[in-house]
Amino acid sequence: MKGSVLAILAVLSFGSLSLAGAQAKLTMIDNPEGQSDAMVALENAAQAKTGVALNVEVVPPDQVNVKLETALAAKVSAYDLFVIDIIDLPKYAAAGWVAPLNNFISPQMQKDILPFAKQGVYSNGQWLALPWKAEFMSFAYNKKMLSDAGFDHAPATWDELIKMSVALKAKKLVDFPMVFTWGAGYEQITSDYTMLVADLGGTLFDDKGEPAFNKGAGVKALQMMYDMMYVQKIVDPSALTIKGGGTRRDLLAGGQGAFAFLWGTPLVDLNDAKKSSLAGQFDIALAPRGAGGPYSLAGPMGLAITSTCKDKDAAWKILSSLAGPEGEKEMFLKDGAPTGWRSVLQDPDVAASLAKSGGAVMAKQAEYIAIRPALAYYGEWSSALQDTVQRVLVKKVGVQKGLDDLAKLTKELKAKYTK
Amino acid sequence: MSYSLSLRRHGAMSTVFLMTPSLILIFGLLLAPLGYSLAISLFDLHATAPWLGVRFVGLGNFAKALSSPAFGAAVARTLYLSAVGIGLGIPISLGFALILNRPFKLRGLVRGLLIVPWVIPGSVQGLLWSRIFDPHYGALNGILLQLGLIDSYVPWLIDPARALLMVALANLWSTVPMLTLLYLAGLQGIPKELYEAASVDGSTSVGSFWRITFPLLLPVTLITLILKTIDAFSLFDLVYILTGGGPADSTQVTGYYLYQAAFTSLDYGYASALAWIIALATGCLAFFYSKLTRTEEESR
Amino acid sequence: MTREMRMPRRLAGSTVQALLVILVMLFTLGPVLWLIASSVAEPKDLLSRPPRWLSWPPDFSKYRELIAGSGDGARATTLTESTLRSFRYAMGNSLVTSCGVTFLCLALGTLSGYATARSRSNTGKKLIYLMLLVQMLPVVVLLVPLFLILSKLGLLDRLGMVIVLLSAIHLPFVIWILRGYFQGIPMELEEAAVVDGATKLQVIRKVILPLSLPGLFAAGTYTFMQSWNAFMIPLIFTSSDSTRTVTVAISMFVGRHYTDYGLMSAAGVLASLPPMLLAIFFQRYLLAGLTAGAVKG
Repeated sequence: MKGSVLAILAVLSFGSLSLAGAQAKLTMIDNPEGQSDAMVALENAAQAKTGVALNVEVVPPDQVNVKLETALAAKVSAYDLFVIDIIDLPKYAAAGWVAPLNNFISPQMQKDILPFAKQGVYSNGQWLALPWKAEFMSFAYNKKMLSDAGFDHAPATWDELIKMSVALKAKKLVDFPMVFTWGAGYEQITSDYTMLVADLGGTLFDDKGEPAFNKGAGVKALQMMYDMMYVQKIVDPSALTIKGGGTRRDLLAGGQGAFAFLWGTPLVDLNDAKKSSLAGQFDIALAPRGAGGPYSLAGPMGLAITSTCKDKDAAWKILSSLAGPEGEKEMFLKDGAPTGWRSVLQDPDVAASLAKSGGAVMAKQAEYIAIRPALAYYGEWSSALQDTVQRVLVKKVGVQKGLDDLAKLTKELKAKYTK
Repeated sequence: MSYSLSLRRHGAMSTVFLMTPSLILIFGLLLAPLGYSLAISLFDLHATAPWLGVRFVGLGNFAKALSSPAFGAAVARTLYLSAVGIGLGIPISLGFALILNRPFKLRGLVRGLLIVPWVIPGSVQGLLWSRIFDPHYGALNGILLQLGLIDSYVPWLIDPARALLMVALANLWSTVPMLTLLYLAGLQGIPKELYEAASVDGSTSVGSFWRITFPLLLPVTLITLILKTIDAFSLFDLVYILTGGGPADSTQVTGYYLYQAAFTSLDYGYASALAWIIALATGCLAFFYSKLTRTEEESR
Repeated sequence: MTREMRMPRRLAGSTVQALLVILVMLFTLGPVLWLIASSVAEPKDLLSRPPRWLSWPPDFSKYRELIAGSGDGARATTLTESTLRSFRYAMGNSLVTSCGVTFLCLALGTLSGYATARSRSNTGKKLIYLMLLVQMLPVVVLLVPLFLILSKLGLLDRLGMVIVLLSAIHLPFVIWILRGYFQGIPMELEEAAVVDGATKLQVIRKVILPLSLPGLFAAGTYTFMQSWNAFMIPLIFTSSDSTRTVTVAISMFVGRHYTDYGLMSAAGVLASLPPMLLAIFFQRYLLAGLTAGAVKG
């Protein structure tokens, strides 16, 4: 009798232990790659400066959106700050999950934001985030490896890149010169494919919003990916099991590759002797082009406040400290994290560092930027695309058939997601 | 005796009362959610498109599951996994058990160590095998190269068919030792007189194996068959870490398929329907299992 | 095949036997030994083809990094100090979770096990069969509704909830095990205690528990191991460093920190340490726990 009561109390107290510990601070959700040592230092500094307490929840990358969207859909204020990617912007805006910043952001700030960065934070007249790591991919290559093979410049076209890679491989300088990471369920697949389509002069969707990837450049791009892996053999087949931009950088820095597309300001880390064993051998160049232009892909991101946040004033304070010009300048100087603020780019320290890390090239690249399609059903579409690419690359389905199936699925998704 | 029986054994009310906390826990956290799960399976929750609202679809999710080629493929892969586990696992375990059945020094220690693969957490197993199967620096490639069986490194987890086989073998590794222990226990339950009688009758050791050992171990074998099949349907940890279902979904077994439906696609209604279908399937298997153990007990 | 008949062939047989036993051990422990060897290997040994199997002297720096954090902060890979720190938290979380679940299951299991062992009618047995039936269902059936309910209540990402959930899942089996042990205790002992004026609870405490220590150990070690190894539930119901268990933390190592194999292996070894220690030292109890369900009627 007494025992049962005691036991019931035990269970209840365990339960309430879980109810207790309500958080009095703001919570930001992020993935491990975003929480570099520099970022952690910035977070601490921002808390000290603004007096707002911030708790950062680090979650595996494929869990971030799940946890975030679940909380938002249930209208539970588990998270206050989060990193929003341009590909999620349409969905989050339509669902009303982001708190508009129009009342917080000053006209001066609005003018300071670079145009391509604005795409990631502004939608339908509403400012939804501050630019955060508004980055695009840079084409990095191992200059020394190329000169060892007798090449004195970076490839300007994809044909040239393939020729050079075949030569590098023949001279046994490297087994798989072109580094890609196309692991299962990895967004990079979509990024790389979109970029290639742009380089070859095509688009994924036509003006009417209908799928265009199963003809022309779309088909050529996927065929090229296949050929690079199985015909010219310059891309490692085990790329299909690898994920991570850091991994691509490590492969390049370890001499396991000659060419790679890297986010951010890659030369900062690649030529840093503490982080890279082949420091000093790297440079960046404009992306190789095909029939189109030397396009690279941008993924302007933003740091945003959730609509469920209970204290938006405090959230804005710490947000502007982290993602405002001063914060972004810190992140650039320490991590090479790119910025979306004009004033930061013009800052003398930043300009000097940029000049050393290929700033001139990056400025030129900024004129040839492609972005991924803005779809309310982007998540599902991108998953389907990644699946298609993987199936083609494991030879389960042909290029044309794979893309045709994808086009059919896309039309179904579109129909399902419009009221 | 009957006097003390009525004094000590308590009635239904007393039983239930002592069990109240357990019942609260189990009914609250296990049975109630089951009902909710059934309810969810009848709706499309549109978690990723909240502007579309919640829609009642009746048995739509179930129909979609049963007609889905992806789900069918996942079930096929799961059955393949259990087939490998049974087809290879039983002979290997039986062999090991026969080897360990003879007395030798340190036998106790060896038997004790058999349990190690089973206790290693599933995610660590995934880590372990991803290292062993690594296409550039893995142990499997290293050993085969040194033994001269291959002349260049093989990317084990790229080819779809091979990837699934590798997952099946990795899973096999963790279950064979336990099965060996079960067979060992079974072997030691066979009276030596049976063998002596057989050899007096002129039977060879191979003959006595097929005529005595194998039939007497049949109950263990049958139970293993069913349990391994049930387990295959919930395999998740290993696949999540080792292959993530890839490449190109070639290692997507039902456990992983379900996880993706629920927590990657956030399609809760569909995932609940899937879960119920799998639950019913494994429930039938569990039913056969309990029937088997019941007849087992009765025949003793 | 009596001993006398086998005698002359014993010597040759035992060499073959020894080789076969070594084969069995290689199969069983080979992978684990390689994991351990990798964790103390020098990085370049792991990155050669074929890998150097044994590094001497062993390099324990990876363990130092995991346990105490590294000093210089700059790293050649994407591994950051925050990931290392989160691994340490995760080990602690796993310990708390497993202890909590074991305690809860043993406490509640004792009461219910006793109740069903001594019940007059068949209520006890029927309740247990019902609970076991629920337990046989694949866990996924429960995950979606629990996830939705808890997320609405804002109870996601709480260690207490993980403990309660895991306990609910393992409780039926614990009750089953303990019931078996309790039934083996002669009722005369209980009667003697009752005659001396003991209440039911006191009977449990003074008579039943001391006599069923093996059973408690069996149920306890089994439950501890199962909770430590739990993956799907912590994966789904935790998100932050302060709640994540070590099995989930391992998943953050694979695929990310591609080239630091030694570190990954060391993490794997540390994460498997408690279950392996239990397996080696409490093997008898673990096996008893496992077979109790299958054997006892």
